[in-house]
Amino acid sequence: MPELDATGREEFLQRISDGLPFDEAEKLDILHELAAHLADSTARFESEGLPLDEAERTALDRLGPPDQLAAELTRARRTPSRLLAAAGAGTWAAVSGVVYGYIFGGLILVVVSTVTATLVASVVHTFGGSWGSLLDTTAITLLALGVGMYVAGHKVTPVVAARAGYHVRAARRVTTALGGVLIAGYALVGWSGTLTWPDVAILLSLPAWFVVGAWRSTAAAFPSRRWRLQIIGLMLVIVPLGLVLGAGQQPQGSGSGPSPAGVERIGLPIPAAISTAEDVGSGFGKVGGSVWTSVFVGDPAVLAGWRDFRVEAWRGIGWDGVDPAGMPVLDPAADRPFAVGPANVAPPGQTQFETWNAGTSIPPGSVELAGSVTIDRNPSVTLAWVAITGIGPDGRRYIMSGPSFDSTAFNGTAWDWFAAIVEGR
Amino acid sequence: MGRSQLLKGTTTLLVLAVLREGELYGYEIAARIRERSAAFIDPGEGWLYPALHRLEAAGALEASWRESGIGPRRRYYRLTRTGSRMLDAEASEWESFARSVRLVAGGPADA
Repeated sequence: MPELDATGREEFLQRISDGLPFDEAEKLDILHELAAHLADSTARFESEGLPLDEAERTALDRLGPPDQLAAELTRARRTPSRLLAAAGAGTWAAVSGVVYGYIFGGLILVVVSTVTATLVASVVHTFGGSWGSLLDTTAITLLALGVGMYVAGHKVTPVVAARAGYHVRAARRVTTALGGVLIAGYALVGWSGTLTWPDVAILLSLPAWFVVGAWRSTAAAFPSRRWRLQIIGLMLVIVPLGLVLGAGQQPQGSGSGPSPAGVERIGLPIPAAISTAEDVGSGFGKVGGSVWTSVFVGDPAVLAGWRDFRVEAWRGIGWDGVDPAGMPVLDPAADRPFAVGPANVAPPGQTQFETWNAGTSIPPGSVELAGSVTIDRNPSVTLAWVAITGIGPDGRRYIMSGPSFDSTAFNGTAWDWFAAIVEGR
Repeated sequence: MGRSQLLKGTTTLLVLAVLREGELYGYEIAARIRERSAAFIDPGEGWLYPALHRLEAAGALEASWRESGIGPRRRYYRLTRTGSRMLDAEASEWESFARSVRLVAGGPADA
């Protein structure tokens, strides 16, 4: 076999390679086949008397323009079954990309968050003050998921392109649109859980992470060392920023204590007759987004003439810098409850519990005034004061139990979040 | 009409026909067609590999890499059962077409 002139043949094969949208193994198959053909063809023309360079040029000419040959080979190998294979491979690339990015991003976030939080705690401990955080567990999880989406976008496009037989720039339009829409749907109605506004913002950015990843994707190996360093750098900016911005956030919690200032807006203080009849106590609990509260009344006769019992939730505001005792207070601007639930009297023998506070028996003949109110799904409320109220025989509304406070973390999807805003909650 | 135009409609028939006799690699297929047609069909090989890959994707051909006696490894093509049926159909179609053309052109139909 004659040695081919590397310049002409290599340039020809390189242009063929550049024009083929397949993976490396498939490209090599095609290029080896064409190289073998060129070697045979050149040998033939050389044996017919042509000088080597002219023989090779003739062999190349007979294969036609390399760009055209690459395009025709691509069309010839582009079959419907490849689209199916591309869908499968693309799905796998997306899933593995999300998992890889999520784990990598999550690890970086945990490390950076821990270090930053430790530093902030030291500063707070030394100089005083308090600190909430914009980056709660949900935010950290969603940020890691964002990194996962970026990796998925980056990986899925070249895989789909190579399997389907299309160039990356063409496949990118499909993967970007399809992936973007799917992830946007997931971000809006798929993810459900505790949400704050930073969580919602990060959640809605998930399609953008994917689209940017898809748009930056190339056929080159990914992820690169440079990419990993970029992600670490990004997290080093985001986490401290979240903590700094979180300086004004209020901590979350629940409890009871001295009645907050302005409690008269909820109702008049509990009447002595009722109060003394409460010889067992009251309870307060939260399940999901609802607060359940109850009070036991030992002498049901004191409730005669009372009506319209209900559980009211009033907007509270954070305790830091507002109340000297460090307790949350009623929002001075609140003139009505933001949520109301029904409360009813359970007759003797039909109360939910038979004992109270670690085994104390409910006295025979006691009634239970109990009810619940849903306090989540209100983006504008992060703290609630909850009380049972009722209208007394004198026609005025009294506080029957409470108030106690609880955090009102929003539970739901991003769609629920916006729906609540539209409804003015 | 030039030969290259005529070739476009007959590439499947030509490739399948020369492979009926046994396995061949790309260059051999082109050489065999050239020899059989007494060099009448010799427009270059730019058409050959797209045709081979299309027929392989359609299941008419099977390909495998093998060492050859001389030179680099070759990709040999072999006719499949689907390819044989396709060849029969193509040959029949071509015969009908050629007979019709001859009739229209005024020559004997069985020439």
